[in-house]
Amino acid sequence: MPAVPTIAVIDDDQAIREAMDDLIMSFGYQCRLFASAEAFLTSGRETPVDCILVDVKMPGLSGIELQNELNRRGPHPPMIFVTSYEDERTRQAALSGGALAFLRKPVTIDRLMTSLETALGQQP
Amino acid sequence: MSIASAIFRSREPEGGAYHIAFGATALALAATVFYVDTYTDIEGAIAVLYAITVLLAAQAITRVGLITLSCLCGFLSLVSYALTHAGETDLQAMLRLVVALAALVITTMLLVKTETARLALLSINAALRESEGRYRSIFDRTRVALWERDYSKLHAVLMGLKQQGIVDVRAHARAHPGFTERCIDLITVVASNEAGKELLGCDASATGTLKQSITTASDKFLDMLQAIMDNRRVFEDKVLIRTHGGDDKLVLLSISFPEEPLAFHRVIVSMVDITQRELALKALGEAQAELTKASKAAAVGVMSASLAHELNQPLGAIVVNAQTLLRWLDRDPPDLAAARRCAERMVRDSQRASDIIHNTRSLLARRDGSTETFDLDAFIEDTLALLEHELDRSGTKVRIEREHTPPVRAVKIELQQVLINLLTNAIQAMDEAGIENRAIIVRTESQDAGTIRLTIRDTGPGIAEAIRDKLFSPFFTTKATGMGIGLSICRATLEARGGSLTGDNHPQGGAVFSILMPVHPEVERA
Repeated sequence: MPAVPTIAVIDDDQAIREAMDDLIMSFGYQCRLFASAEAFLTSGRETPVDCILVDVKMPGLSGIELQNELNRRGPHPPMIFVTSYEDERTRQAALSGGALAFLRKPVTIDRLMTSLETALGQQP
Repeated sequence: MSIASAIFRSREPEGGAYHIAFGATALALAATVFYVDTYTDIEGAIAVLYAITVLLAAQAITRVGLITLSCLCGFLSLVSYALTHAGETDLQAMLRLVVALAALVITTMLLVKTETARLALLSINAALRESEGRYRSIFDRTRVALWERDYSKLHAVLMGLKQQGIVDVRAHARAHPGFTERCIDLITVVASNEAGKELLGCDASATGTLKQSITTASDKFLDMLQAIMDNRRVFEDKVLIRTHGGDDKLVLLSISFPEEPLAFHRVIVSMVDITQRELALKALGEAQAELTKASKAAAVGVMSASLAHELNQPLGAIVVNAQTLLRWLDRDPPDLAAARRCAERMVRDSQRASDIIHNTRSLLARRDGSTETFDLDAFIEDTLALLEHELDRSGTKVRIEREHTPPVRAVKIELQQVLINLLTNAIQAMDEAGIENRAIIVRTESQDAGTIRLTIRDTGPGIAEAIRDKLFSPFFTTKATGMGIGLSICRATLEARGGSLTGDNHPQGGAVFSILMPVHPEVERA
């Protein structure tokens, strides 16, 4: 386990990415930002991440599709979903796919911190 | 037979006995005259009496018969003369013969002329009867409801009023309660055809039917009275009538007034039932309105969803940034540089949210359309025609006050939508307030050399003070089913072309909306 946990933030909106980056930095973690699920998948494993924070609805691969792909590839860091839409089906799909949490946008700081801590605590 | 028919008149109403009586008397007289002339010594112009023979026979014989008879009489005179005065030269006797023959010829000529005139009259009468028969058969069999009504008394009364200087029937009726009823009583129904009886549900000549059928349309009845007073030849309008059974029917009423005052005793009134047609039109109009409303609602729904999504991103970022900012400030010591970064991002994201709203607004107002130059008067007429049904339904009268304005250059469909929106608002406002006299005044005038002002004024309740400021705000509405985007889009549309839209209350009541349009609009600014 590295000294400073690294969180991958995948969101198609730059303003959200920047805001999350700073917020997570204030928690004492570091971030890697990706504009799409594809960008994350092609980034390889140069810098391993400890947790994935992903937007549900994105152009190209959606958050759920990314989860399916990662599940297919084998073990992967825990995933936390954030979404603007209250959609029970998507929520069920995410949770049954092994998601750690399904948070509503705009995220409340406490819920996000709790989820991140849970995720990082699960790390082997 | 042919000789008899050539000589004797045929198909006379008085019949053959009459002919025979006259013929026999004439022959008896002719024989008597011949006898007296030939075999007695009575000296005198006995032969002149042949003229009476011809006169008597004329009642029964044709022109050919007359000429034949007078030739015969002339021949008899000559025979008598030859028998009594043969071989002598009695000047007096010869003169008597000449006088007798002259009397015979003149009488015959006059009789032939009379007979010719009589025959002409007969044929004219026959043609007239035939024409009347044709008219009667058309009157009876046509599917158009027809009445013959006697308007002569009414016409006389109205002309009497006109002589007293009264020209406005409506004003007169207002000043004299019961005038309309008295006028209705002056009309009597002479005849009605089957279709007419069917339409009103009973024999239209029955007392009171006319009165009952008009009760629902006393307004139009006054228009009709005005038409008579103005000596108009035709009155035509859509009129709501009440049948004997109490149903209301919408009919196309048409009355042709004669030129001659005397002919007002038989005026033809026709009605065509257009209730079904109007109902169909109404249903069509309503379906179209529903469709427009539904598609508008759908468009607004789609737009709202995309707007919500677009706005959610910067707003979400702002919330996260604000929370982060607080965290940096809560540190001991506070990390001001980090806090500043947060605040800067918040400013940027807020600006983005505001831009999205602005863009959406101009998106709403933007239309694809090219400008064209057109005449405003004709344009207003066309637009009013589109709303004819709505105007009729609500009983709204439209008055157009036009000043000579130059042709405008604009996107026709845009301007039409604005105008329809404003007119519909006016109709609805007056509808909801239950206004009695519903009128819309559309006025065009030149504001200055480069600007045309188009105002739409109604007689409704006007704009309430409390909502005047919000009138053009998007999503503000006073209507139960309104979307609140009409006026805001209208204004944005006009502003995009360098025009403007303002709403206010008229000093004499009602709301008035003013459109200012440049005659030569600038290039699109939206």
